[in-house]
Amino acid sequence: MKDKVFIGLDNYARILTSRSFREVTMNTFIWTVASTFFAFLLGLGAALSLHREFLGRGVLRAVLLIPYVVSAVAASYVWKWLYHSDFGVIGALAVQFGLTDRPINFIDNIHTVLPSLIVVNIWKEFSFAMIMLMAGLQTVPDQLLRAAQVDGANAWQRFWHVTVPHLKGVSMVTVLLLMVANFNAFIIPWIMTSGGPAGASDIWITQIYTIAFGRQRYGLASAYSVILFIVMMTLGYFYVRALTRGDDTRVK
Amino acid sequence: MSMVSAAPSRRRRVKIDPWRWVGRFFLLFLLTFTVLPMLWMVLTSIKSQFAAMQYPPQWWPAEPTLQNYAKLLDPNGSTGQEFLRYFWNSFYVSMVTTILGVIVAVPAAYAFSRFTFPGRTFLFFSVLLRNMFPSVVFLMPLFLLMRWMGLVNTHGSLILTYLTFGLPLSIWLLKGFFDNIPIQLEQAARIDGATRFQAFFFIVMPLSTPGIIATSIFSFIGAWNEYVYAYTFLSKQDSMTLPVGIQRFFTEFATDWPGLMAATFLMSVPVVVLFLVLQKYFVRALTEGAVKH
Repeated sequence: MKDKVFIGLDNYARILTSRSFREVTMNTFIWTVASTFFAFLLGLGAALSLHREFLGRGVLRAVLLIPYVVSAVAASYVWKWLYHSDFGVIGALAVQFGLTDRPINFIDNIHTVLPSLIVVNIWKEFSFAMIMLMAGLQTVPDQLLRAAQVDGANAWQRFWHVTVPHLKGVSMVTVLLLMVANFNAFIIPWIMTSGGPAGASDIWITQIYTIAFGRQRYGLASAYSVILFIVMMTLGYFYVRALTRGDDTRVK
Repeated sequence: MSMVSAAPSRRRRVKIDPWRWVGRFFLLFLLTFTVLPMLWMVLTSIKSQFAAMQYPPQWWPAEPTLQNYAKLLDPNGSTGQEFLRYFWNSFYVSMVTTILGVIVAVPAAYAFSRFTFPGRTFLFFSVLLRNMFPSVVFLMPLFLLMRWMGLVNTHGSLILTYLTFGLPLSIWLLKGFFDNIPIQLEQAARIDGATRFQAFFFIVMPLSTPGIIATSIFSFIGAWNEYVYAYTFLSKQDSMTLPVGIQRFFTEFATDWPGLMAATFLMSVPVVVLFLVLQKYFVRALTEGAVKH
């Protein structure tokens, strides 16, 4: 930190050309897209199934929401224990059902670690999508659905031509918020693997943290953060647009 | 249930709806997926260290014991002292953050909702955009700032940081609630001789209580669960909050899984109880603003 030398875009060049950057970016991409996609899908399914009134609906909704409220630190430890290589319950169950001969070592294997972490992330956040979409479903007018039924539309057609268009706005916002949250996720990968083994679960955020606080390379970490900033600004633009879209159409 | 709603005369409508069954199975699957990890956490926490480390695992604890909880909650033991300290720190930080947050957010949201002033839109969206950035990016500058202010290793640093990060969301939520209160109510009060402050305090505030509750739960849960800043700003053991403290605990007794599970359970209790009791407000806070009616 003593000699401050202006090095231009060297840090950026170093990052963009390094091999680890490509790997980490790939991981970040898989992590963000897969988590968002499945969390949204499960959330949508749950919202549709919970839309109809039935006994115990409120209780079920509350139970499904618990993972979203508990701390990610607690969730990470619990799942770390579930995935434990020797005494993990998931491995034991897999053996019990005859899927494998020996317990699978989920988080110490470079091929299974990222999917395993994504499952934890989905467990934690799918109910967020569920709540948002449940609220969205309430804005679908009943009369329209009934009218479609009178006109002879079957369940699928009613869903596709009436419900889906009404959910568009909420879905946009939900997907964007999930993407942002996943892109910025730090706790689950950090506590469960710290990016390991061999960088197989390293994403941008954990990488930045390691560069800055592990290796003390603040310049490099800052350059990384700026790249991240640009990506976030792009997402942010769409977020604000999705939020204000309703206003525009109403003014017209 | 369908039998109750369908009168005998409308029998023909009670036919098997395949989609309903798909939905039921899907919900069953989700319920299993959600509950099993939590169930296993609880089951492990009532096992002894020896019982937990077995293969194949004891599916049901042969000799359930509460010794893990007793150890964590015992104010005389060293583990218990440490854990209760972390618990108190978390509670203190979350509580102060919540109270200060409400005190600041209520007038700010009111201003955003009722007044127009130059830069209002810009300020509002900058407040929103802040939420899009990962906390790791702000770690370094904030850490330097805290050191400069001499706040490192104090709870003040955390409270200040959580307020910075929580306020945008609180203001956004509360503004939504204030927007829904008709301005005529205030105007009527003003005509009857109330000052603006009185109108705000006696008319708007009581009507927006649900909003204030919702915002409070949100900031409490957020502060209780926060990890990154607490991990960086606090290095003294007796000032640590639970998410960080629990980690120390884990690395020291590297293999004490039942103890760790008991600790994560106790750590989740306050937020889950708070959520279950005030669920309605929480859900409303979550969806407010994103869903246009």
